[in-house]
Amino acid sequence: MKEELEYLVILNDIELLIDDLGKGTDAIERQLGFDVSRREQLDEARQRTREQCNPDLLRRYDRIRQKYGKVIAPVFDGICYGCFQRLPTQLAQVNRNEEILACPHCGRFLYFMR
Amino acid sequence: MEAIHLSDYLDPNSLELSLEAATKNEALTELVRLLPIDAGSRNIALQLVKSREELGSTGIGKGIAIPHVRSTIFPSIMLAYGRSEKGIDFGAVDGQPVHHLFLVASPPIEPSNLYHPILAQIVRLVRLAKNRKKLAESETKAELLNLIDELTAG
Ligand SMILES: [Zn+2]
Repeated sequence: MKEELEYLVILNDIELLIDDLGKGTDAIERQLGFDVSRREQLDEARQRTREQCNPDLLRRYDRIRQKYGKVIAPVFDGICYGCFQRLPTQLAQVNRNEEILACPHCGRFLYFMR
Repeated sequence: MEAIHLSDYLDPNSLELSLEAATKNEALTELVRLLPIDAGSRNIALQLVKSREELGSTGIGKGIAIPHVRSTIFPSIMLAYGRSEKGIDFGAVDGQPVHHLFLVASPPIEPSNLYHPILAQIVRLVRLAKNRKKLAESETKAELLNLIDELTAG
């Protein structure tokens, strides 16, 4: 898999986790007995991941992120699960996850599921 | 609420009765390897599970750790279980080494909203000393799967 895609996925998932904590997931976690005390560590992990991302891709990422929370859209059977539209055949057939591809309908980065 | 059968999310390939790991990182690597995902996705899963641990240990005490992670790379909720006889230093809340590790992996959003209920179910399961003893005593994967099924039948 293309490393640049890995970093984008990791970044989005860390940012979604931070969003979730802000929405009260930390309270649920604490209630279940988990430690969620080191929020600043997570911010550092986020920053580290941002520094590993390709700057051009990161700019695109941030633009999409302003529009949607989820920047990475999984693809199942040729359907983008960001916007639930079918991808053009030639896009659906490329070497999966070896290129950075965006959905022509919603612009999210695509992550092909097996 | 209806009982969640953890065994629905586990299969023999996602169980390891004797983890080789000596460290927390090795344990997380071994657990992620038990998930039915491709190698590229495993890299991502491992990085994310480590990021979650930076927020605070998922070692909840009494020899139990429940590392958990949400990512786009998971098509559905997946679990893995690993057991370590010698115990692993996991930075657990009570400072005790960890012997039973459940990994919970989920997509960021799932329609059934089972992520937290499944975490809660595992916490309930391992809270009882007699259940932890049974987990420790299971000799085969089949036995362990049956046990988990039985203990979460509600
Ligand atoms: Zn789309």
